[in-house]
Amino acid sequence: LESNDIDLQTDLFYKLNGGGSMDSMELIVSRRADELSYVTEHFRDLQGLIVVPMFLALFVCLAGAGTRHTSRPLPVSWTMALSASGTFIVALFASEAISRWYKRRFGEVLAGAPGESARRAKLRTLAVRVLIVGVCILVWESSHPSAMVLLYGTMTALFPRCFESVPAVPAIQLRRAAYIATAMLQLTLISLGNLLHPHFTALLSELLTTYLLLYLYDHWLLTRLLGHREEANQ
Amino acid sequence: VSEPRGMLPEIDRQVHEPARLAILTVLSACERADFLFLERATGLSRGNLSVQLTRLEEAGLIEIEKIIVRKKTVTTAALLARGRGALDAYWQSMEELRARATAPERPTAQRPRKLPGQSAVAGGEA
Repeated sequence: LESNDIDLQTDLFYKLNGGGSMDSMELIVSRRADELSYVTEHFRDLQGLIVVPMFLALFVCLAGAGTRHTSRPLPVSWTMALSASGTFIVALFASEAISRWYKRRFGEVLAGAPGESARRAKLRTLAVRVLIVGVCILVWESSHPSAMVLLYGTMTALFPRCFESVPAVPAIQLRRAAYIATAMLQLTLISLGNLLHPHFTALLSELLTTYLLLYLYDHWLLTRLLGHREEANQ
Repeated sequence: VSEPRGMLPEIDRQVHEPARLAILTVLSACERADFLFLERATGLSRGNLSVQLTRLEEAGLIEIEKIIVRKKTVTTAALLARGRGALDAYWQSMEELRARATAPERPTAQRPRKLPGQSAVAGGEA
């Protein structure tokens, strides 16, 4: 070792020992590194605005179906089907535009750990999907269709994020807590659904509102985690 | 000067520098990242990031690829196996250093020359 390497070791030793003050190095070692890893791994997940147009389109369609239902019930007219299709096509283009905006603003990451862990992750995802489809088929047989929609949403969008490991950063831990709370809420609604027989539109609206809030928080978290320019430049 | 060799774990200066550590940490969490994402995530200026990337590439820790997309050059970086090993070794060294620093018997009590403050010596000998 060179002399300056030993100086570095000694300085680090005393800083860790409490003999020196916390500086940017300490901050990166203890907290920033965890944040960086998290935001890189979940970069796609945190782009919450991408799904907002689709949710808004669903809201519009639900509202349209609701007003249509009071005046003239099924069968659905061609006009209504075309309006719904048009709404979703517009939403699809809006989502694509937002995706490009994210790319221009924050760049791009090819996610996924390389090698063996990537293959394991793909197998795990496949197994989870098979499980979800199986459970939903069972629920479809024995329960109300709205319960199946809720359960499918809960298992695909919420459950995976409830069990991921998160760093000790309050904003990130709050995200996981919000996902867990929402999952619990959905499961409660599914349980009560068989007793109360809630309206399908009401359930779907509740589901969409909750998801919308979660995805808006994801977007806020992304901009917050990628906004440490001054701190790291010191 | 020779005493700390056996006492304290070796710290890799290539990895330890905060800007390079941030870059390596980002790259360790993905397969490949482009220049803009690295700039946003690390908070480094373009010039500084470019310099640090070049140094890491010269050290054989990362690979840099430049491709042309719609008449624009897109720079991406990926962590090499050697870089991943260096980063893992760095975290291990830091953990070891932290463990030693918080251990009841502290080896640095014999080295008053390196002390940044007298209070630290008193803490080490206690």
